[in-house]
Amino acid sequence: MKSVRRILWVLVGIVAFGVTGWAASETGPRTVSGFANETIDEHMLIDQYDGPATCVACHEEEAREMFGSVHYQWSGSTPNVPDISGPAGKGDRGFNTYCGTVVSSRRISCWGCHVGNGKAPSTQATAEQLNNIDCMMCHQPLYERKARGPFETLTYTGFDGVSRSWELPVEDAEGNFQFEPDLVKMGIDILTAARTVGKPTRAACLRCHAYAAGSDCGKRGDLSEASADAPADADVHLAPLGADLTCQSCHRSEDHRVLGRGLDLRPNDRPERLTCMTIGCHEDPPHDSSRINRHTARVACQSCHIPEYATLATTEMARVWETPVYYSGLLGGQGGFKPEEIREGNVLPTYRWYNGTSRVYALGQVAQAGTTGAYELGLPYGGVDSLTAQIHPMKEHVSTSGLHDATGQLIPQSTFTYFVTGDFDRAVQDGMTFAGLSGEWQTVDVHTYQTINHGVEPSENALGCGACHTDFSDGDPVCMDLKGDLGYQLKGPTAQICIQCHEFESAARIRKNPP
Amino acid sequence: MNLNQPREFEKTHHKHVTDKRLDCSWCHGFTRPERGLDTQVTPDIRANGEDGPITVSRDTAVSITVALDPGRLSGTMMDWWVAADTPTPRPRDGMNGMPMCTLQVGSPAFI
Repeated sequence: MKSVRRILWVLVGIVAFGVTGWAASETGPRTVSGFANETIDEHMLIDQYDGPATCVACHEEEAREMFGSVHYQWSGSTPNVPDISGPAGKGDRGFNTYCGTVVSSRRISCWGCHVGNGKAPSTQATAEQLNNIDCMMCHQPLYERKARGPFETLTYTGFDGVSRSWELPVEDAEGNFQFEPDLVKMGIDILTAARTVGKPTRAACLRCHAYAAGSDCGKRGDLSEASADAPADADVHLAPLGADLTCQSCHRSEDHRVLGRGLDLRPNDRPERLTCMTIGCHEDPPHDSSRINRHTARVACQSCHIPEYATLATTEMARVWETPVYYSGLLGGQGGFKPEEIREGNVLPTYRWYNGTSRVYALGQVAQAGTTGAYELGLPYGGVDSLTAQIHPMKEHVSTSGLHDATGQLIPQSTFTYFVTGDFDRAVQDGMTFAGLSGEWQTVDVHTYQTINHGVEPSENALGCGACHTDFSDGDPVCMDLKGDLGYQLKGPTAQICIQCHEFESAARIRKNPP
Repeated sequence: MNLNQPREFEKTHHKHVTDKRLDCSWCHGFTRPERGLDTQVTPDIRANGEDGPITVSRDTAVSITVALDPGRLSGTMMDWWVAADTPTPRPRDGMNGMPMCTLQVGSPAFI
């Protein structure tokens, strides 16, 4: 089946590229990328949709591939995070500066984007597990879903003393519940949806990846819902009037294992490093100018070609758990509390060395504070003296977490408890219960770096010499501290360095060519 | 020379890196081997073949080797000195009176 399908996809690709730019019509799904969801003959034979099992009946091999992926397990091997041994990921040991973790909350709170159809992933590829892989999450951009009953009514008293109730799906001891298609939101019937599945479009990927941390562009900073239809001056790669690439044009997928990892992530589906050169899109050296090419071994393309991020939507720079804000859209539109988000747009990146590996906090580890006193949850490895590191643009995000005094671990506060109470202390207490911790804890600052990779602007917008080098900035401030943060300072006073070859009389007077 | 003056750093950098082809390690705490520049002459001092601390018994002989790669200074006549700083009286086996050495590529000087 797979080989047949691959042949078909070649044909579909040819047809689809022929209709690039075809937008919403009355007769078919909206096209937002180079791959339209054209129908495939075999898919037209589908006469009933019974959930993911309908797809798996013909695509069991693909389901087995997907079963072992990070997208399904929300965990995986961590070859580029040397401080974590064994598998880790969002679904088990993940903990970040945004939402904390998903593991200490009711699963309906945080697993809305999981490609599972409601059941928690297991390690055994049983028929029940394979039929839990919700293919349409990635392969049908118009697909929407909602929790299916039975429901239970839960009442909580918030930080403000007010009692509120929610109707939530019943979860069993493992957190299992069930999703079902939300036909009202989809706008097409489920049979049409099943018959018109296709390779993931930008919109399909961004439905989850643009909304990481719970809001458009909130977490990634360089990806928003608007990235699916970006103007060419904001993203030359994804723009329909630019290169019109799909996400998988760079994030190459092989056996449903996707290339690429932001430094704040733990697992890799594929261990190789994704760069503009390694995937064969750009030559090395990439420029006509040898002067510019001298930089490329040590400066990532993104540093010059993404001069700012959050250009299409604002992004969250800080999260204040102590200030609950009521949002009506939470928990399936029933409302709830989120921490206050401090957001910014058109943000200038921070620049740090990055060699493709990083230190990322995992639950159960002793947290380590950085030089500012904040506990570092995502820190790039590499420096001016590493052979494989490059200067890379980054987003920084700060927040607070509970630190357990006795163990030095960060406490996996319950996001669900916060949603329904707005009370950070209670969320931490519930997190301690979940983790089997007791005793004293304190609130500490946490910080992370995140790589900025999307939003490459046209070459005429690239940073010039004066953006980084004070010698060429005409007195204007530069965007990076080469001699401080990035390690380019002299290794000693000029009085010591210059006398290696010269007679040094003063900083202003050095004799050339001593006898 | 004030390296903080506009363009002064660039001029100095250009003269040393582009014209004289000196590696970054002459002035900075890092190197750029991929550029094929001239690196500093750095001695390699070993005790019994080890480049870290060693512990030996009272009657065990200790062999100290000092080597260097002359790099761009190959063929240049120069003095070089080795100093020993020990908590015990100075070794008796001739640590002073170093000979003049001619530095040659491929045959680093030994003491």
